[in-house]
Amino acid sequence: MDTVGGNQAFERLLGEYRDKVFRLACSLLGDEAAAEDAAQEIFLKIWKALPDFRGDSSVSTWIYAIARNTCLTRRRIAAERRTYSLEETNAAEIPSHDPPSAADSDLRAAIDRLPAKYQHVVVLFYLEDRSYQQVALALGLPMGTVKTYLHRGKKELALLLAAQNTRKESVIPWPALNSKI
Amino acid sequence: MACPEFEDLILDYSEGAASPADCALLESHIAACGECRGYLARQQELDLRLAKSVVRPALSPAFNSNLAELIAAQRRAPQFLWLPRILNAIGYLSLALAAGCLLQQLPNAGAWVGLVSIAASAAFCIWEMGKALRTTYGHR
Repeated sequence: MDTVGGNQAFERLLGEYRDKVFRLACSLLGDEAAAEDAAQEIFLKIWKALPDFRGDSSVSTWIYAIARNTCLTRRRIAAERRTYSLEETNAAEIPSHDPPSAADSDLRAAIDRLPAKYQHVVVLFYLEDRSYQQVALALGLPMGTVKTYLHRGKKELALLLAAQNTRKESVIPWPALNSKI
Repeated sequence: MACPEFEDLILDYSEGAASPADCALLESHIAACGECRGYLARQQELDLRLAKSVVRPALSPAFNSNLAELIAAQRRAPQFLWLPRILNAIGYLSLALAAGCLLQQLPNAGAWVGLVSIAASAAFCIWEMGKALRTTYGHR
């Protein structure tokens, strides 16, 4: 069988962590294409560093630390690029997501408005089938913190959704407005 | 709004993370409290919407082959992988040699300390170079 990297240990890690690392990258970067690109970079780093891995921490802790650092660096670079392009051309920001379906567009808009730390935890919690433990491991946070961020995020999300509904109800659709004039 | 002391318990409950004792406590409370009952219903609805909206993404089928190509490209150009380690080793060696030479100027024990320092730095340099070679050729 053809192996990736020609190394059995690396092959095992790739098989076990490929999807988990991709989901973590999705929650941190908010864009599937960017997350896949980041996952490639993460596994290349793992392949390079594997001969030096001494087992001071568990493999999962080591892999997730590489994944988080790579994603955060990419986020920072992307944010800097956006700042420069706005300064130079005053162009509108290009959305990083595909347009969401009508059914969940309100929810996605509300998720996007959450503070980043709550957003990452909320998204990853549902990507990881509601596992506090997996979210804590992937984000390198204590389980109590994950729970706190998740609860705060959901409370804020409920408020944002309620506010969106209130705004929608207060706007009179134009045919109705026309008939009132 | 829910009763403050039950707010987090309601969230645990809607996430399926409340203990059986907490479930019993909450169920007896919501039987009598309309506010908490409404809050629980809203949270359960939000939980369902989130579970439905946040779907697991799938990697493209070409992920492994693309990664294999990246790794192959790295293997074709490995000549610079060792450079940072070698520079690091040379830096440490220079510092230790300088320290050793200075210590050798001191009378009595200074010469021995200097020699030990030089020997230790040489050993460290060899070790670092070994790591550099392993980084470069370890996967081959």
